[in-house]
Amino acid sequence: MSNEKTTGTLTDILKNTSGDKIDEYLEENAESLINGAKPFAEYMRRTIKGKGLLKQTVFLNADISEGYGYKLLSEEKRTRKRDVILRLCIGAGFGLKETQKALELYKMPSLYPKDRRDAVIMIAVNTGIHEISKVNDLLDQYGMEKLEQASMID
Amino acid sequence: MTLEEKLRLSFYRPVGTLDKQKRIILVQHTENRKIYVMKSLDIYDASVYMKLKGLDIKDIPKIYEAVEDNGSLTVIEEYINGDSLKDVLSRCGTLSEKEALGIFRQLLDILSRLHSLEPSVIHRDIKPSNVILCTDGSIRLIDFNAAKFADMSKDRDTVLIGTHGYAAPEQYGFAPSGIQTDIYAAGKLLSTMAAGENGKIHDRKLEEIINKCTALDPKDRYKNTEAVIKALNRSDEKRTDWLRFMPPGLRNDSPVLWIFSIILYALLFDLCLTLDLPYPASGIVLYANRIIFLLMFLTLIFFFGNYLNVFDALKISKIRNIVLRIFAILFIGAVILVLFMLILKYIELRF
Repeated sequence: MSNEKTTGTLTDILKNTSGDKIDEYLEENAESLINGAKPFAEYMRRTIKGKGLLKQTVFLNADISEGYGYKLLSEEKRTRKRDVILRLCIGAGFGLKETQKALELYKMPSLYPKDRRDAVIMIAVNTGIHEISKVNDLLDQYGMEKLEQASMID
Repeated sequence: MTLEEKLRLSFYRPVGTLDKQKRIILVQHTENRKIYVMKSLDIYDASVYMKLKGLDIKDIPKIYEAVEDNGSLTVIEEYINGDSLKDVLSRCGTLSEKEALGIFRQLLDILSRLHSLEPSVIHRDIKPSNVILCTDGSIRLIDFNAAKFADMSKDRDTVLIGTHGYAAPEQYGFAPSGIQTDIYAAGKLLSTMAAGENGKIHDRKLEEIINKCTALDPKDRYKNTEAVIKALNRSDEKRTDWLRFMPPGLRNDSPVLWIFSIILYALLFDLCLTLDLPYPASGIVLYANRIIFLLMFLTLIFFFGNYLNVFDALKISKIRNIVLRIFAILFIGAVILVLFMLILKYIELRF
């Protein structure tokens, strides 16, 4: 996928890094460390790139305006709506694990199977539904709220 | 199906087809990445799958999910890989008696576990394509689509299902299927393994057992799998008992070897009992020599032929190194030879 090193490799590097080289190490391995400045932005960038998608395509699928979309992904702007992050994940064709990780990094609650609405979203993600309209149809079918729209004032 | 069930099933993504017609597909769980089998069944007994789902019965596919939806049952079960008995038989024709009995015994063990449930689960579709042979020699019984709980209070089965050639008469609608129905099919399977679809069984004991398994009237068959196993053990015991006392050369099934051995023994007896001594000797001494000679040869033959497992008694079989073992056998053989020679020499000198 990307240059993210596995946990094992990092330990090896750590062992070989002496005190004064720590800065160098942190810089070189910024991508792989969780305490990086913008973990969500970094994760989304990396994962979307890994899927061979353009950010514009993601925003199109997610039905989010490009301008706002870029700001969300770079963390320039922050949203309080979990559904918006879900839209981005669904639009980017994330699997369940990836979606949960994105929510976690955005400091939002993960999808919880015991929550009926979350369960429906999980089913959509698991069965590979990438269009928001289809996800909303499914939510509608079960009598639940559709995914909230994204707006600049959040 | 409930939302929770739908969610659990959504984790299984199709990765291949096993049987398009029967709607059996290979799926992978998106989280644990393991492979399973997903089946969509129209004709089924959901209650059997529900019961099996909650249990952990050895050597049958583990049932992970059994969900009903709109008159159809979706099952997620363990994927068992390996050649079916059908594949093996079409490659090899028939199996040796030893192999066939090995598989038969394992099958009886599996059936025993199913039949001892409360109520008993009857498989009803035992046939070569439903027996999978694993690389370690163990078997698995698959395909419980025709299975049902034994219910002898009914007059007949409500759904007639089974495979021609292995289905017991009652499966055609004359009586309810029970434990004996599986025993019938198991007997037919043993027959097919040992002698082909329409072959003849040469071993009398085996033929007896197969006949009792496949009697037309269920009442005439073995009562349960334990009874069949007992019958098998009895016939095994009888065979090994008198076989142990046979001299080397006469302990096998081949008539050619038998005749050959008997001729050799006859020649040996003839040779020893008619030999002449290099020195003049009276009647008793002559015969004593002849008998001792014969005894010497017989002792050597019996020793080298491991009569009555003398190798175990002398701990020779415990020697790991094969060269050392051969050396030990030859050494003891030489000792026997020397002892007899000494006896003969003694007689010569004494008389």
